[in-house]
Amino acid sequence: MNKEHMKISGRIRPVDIEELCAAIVSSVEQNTRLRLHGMDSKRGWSSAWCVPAQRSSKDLHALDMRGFDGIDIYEPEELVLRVGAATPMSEIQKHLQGNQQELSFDPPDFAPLYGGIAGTGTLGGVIACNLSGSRRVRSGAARDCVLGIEAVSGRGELFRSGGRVMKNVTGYDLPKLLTGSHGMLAAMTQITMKVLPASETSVSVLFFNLEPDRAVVVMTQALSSAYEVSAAVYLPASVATQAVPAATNTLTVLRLEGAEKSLPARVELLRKHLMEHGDSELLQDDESRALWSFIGDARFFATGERREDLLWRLFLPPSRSHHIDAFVRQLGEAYYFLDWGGGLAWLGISNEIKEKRVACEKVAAFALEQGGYGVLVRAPDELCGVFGGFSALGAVENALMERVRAAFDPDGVFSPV
Amino acid sequence: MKMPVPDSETIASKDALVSGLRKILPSEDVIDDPAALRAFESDGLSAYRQPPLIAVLPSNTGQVSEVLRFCAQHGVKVVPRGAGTSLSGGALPLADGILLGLSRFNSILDIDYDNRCLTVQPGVTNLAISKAVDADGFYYAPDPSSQYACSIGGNVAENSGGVHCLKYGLTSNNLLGLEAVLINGDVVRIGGAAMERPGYDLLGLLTGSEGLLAVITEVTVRILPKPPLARAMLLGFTTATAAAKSVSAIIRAGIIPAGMEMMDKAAVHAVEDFVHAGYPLDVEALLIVELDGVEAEIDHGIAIASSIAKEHGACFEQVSQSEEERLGFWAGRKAAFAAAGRMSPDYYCVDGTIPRRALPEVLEAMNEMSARYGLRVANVFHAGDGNLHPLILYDANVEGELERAEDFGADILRMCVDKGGVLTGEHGVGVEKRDLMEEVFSQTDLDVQQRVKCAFDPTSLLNPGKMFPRLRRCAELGAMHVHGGKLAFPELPRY
Repeated sequence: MNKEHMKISGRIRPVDIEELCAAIVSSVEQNTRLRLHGMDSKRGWSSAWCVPAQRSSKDLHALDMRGFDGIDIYEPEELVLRVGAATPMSEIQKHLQGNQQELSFDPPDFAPLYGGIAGTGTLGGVIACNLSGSRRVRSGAARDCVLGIEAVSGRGELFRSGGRVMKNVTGYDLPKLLTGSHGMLAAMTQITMKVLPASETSVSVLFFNLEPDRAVVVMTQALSSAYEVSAAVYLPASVATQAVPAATNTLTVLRLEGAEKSLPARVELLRKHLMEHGDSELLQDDESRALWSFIGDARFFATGERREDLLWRLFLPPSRSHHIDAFVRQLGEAYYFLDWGGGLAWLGISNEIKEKRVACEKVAAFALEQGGYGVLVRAPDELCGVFGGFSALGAVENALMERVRAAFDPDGVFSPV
Repeated sequence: MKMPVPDSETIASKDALVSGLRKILPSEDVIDDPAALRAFESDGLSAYRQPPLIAVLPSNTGQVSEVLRFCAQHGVKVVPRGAGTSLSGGALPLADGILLGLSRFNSILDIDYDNRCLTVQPGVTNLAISKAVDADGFYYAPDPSSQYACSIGGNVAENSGGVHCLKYGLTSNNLLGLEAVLINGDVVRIGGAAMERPGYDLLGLLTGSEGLLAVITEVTVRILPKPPLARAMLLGFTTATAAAKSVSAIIRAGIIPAGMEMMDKAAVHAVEDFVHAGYPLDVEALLIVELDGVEAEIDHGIAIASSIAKEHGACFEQVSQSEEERLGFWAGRKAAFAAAGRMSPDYYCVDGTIPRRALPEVLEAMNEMSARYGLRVANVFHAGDGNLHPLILYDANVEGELERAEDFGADILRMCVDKGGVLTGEHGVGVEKRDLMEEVFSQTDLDVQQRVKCAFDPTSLLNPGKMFPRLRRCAELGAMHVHGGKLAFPELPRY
């Protein structure tokens, strides 16, 4: 799985904007394509996401963006961070932690899902894939925190959009458009992010042994309460027992974050609010943090046999997410858990099953029926892009997306795979 | 302010266009009477007036689609309009254009508490959304000060803000889905109750696109549970610098207030004379800091903010002890524009954003400019997110004062850009700041944006004359890439 789909016939590593523009112009002239990468931790993700029509038989060169790294501006009191796009996440997080700040969208680390080493990856990769973790349900997505972008288009032109201030409606919001575009519109060289104060502490409230429909009710009530729940997940028994040693059956977990002094009051108010659903237990500090990285990084699907699963992310209306339980049972050989209060379902299908495409078609249809959509983010070669980021769109929407892409890259120089 | 030269052929064919449109819409929904058209001649930027050639008031998406397709076929320009409260002239009509009013799209279509979202038609007002879910303990967070009148469709077009943006985001951070119609009549659906959407982020792109890309016909917004409690503090300072430094220190201490507003002395006095909010008159700058949430956390936040303010030499502090008192604190701030209106026959509201730390020097420079232009200025400021709203006082009946006020405003915005900020934080570019876009963006930056426009509207019929300072045809933009950004187009018309 996640093999290179096409042979890389050249590698380019520009050191500055001028070289980057020249590399792109020369690729257009020589009729080759460029696959952008930083630390290459999300290759499998992007190849699964893109649709087959976006591939071509042109020669493919790897465009290494790692020359564009380093922190340019970090002003904690202004809540602003401007970095080279290929700045490693580990470096960014080190600086932010030193100032009790964070990227509020909880950037997940998916490198281990693709056999990579935990802690690798760049901000450019996170933004290009619009990856948000469990706090997304409260604090918004990666795209909500991007203030400004500098990038080079498929025409080899450097452009900027957005800025460094918190509130800005000057011109089209191209930072949002580029976020999640998987390197198919432009090569980002610099990214400006909004950062926020990190909470002093976090507490997880655990409900044991709830049925999925009941769990969704609990999560909905929690997220509809005024107690600022920052994450809500449901783990079926197979996942829960790996996540928390004390779990023997299903686990529903709510996370609250805040100041050490005042958080306990909010935790108690929430527990009281949810009393009708039975007793709950608390998980604090390191145990709580370990649980959330297991969930946010989808580690269940990065270990043991599950490492080989065909892996889906389904974006569902939270109120309908519990239907996945019956669906997964019917499908057989599959595992799931819910994040984002039910808004995100991770679903893995055993790589051993015979009719992979048929199973995947069922998953895609299930997501659509529920009013959401799904993307196969870890796929065997033959299914790469078949259930990708554009598959759920109608013809009108797809045609518009293609016109938008061509506005940035008329010659199709950027290849996501 | 120059608009594109009206096309005389289009104007001459008005009767034919009217009869064509009346095949799509009921006769009374196609307005061609010059007197009736005057109702649409301006928006919230009332210094500019221009009746449209024709106004149409469709009632459903099918009609919008047919009207746009008709306009595309006949090469007629279209200006979309919500409630007409734009402060940047985003809904200013064109003499040779059709004004497409969305006032009939005024229904709430679905309230979905389980998924914490609401689907509405674009003509529903911002406040009506919050009111619809208020009794059940929810609200819609972005709250522009025009919220009782402005429509959600207009909020989407302008990416409107409000006083709670630092904590709760702008419009674009609070949307889940849209239905939009392209100029060719195609109906595009983006998102819904799910939190993410397939493909590129067109929801993000359309939000704040000022009616240049598509006409919004349906909006799904995210709603939030109302905080159980909110308390506001008034903090007075003898210098604007001390107030600004307190704002930064509060944020640095890890507190993100629900709202953090600042008024300068002129604004405080104007407001106090008008609504008697109880503001101290002996301060150079006044902060309103609002915290929301559960009581223990509000108390914690207030204690921190209070000690920071004292460290920075605050000379006045008052914490609201009741909901009535809290609303009283806000009544002054919310009346700031009206108070300016009482001080002067006319005022011009500027909207720039700066990195917060530049505030003291920006305020000082503004006072110098005020003396130079001979026009008074009062400042209200979304201090938490660096969004300035200087109110320039002038009298339109005095020859040359409007022009002077506009020049003053343009100078302020140039200064914002110079300090690392931008032209507009929440009011939009529209016609007002169109000609300043080159202060922020290079020609290449603007070309990239205009090519996006071409992907939606290849013949530039949707709201032309707004946002971009130069007319560029899509064919020229497309052909140019061979030569990179090196070609200059001095011969292109500017308007």
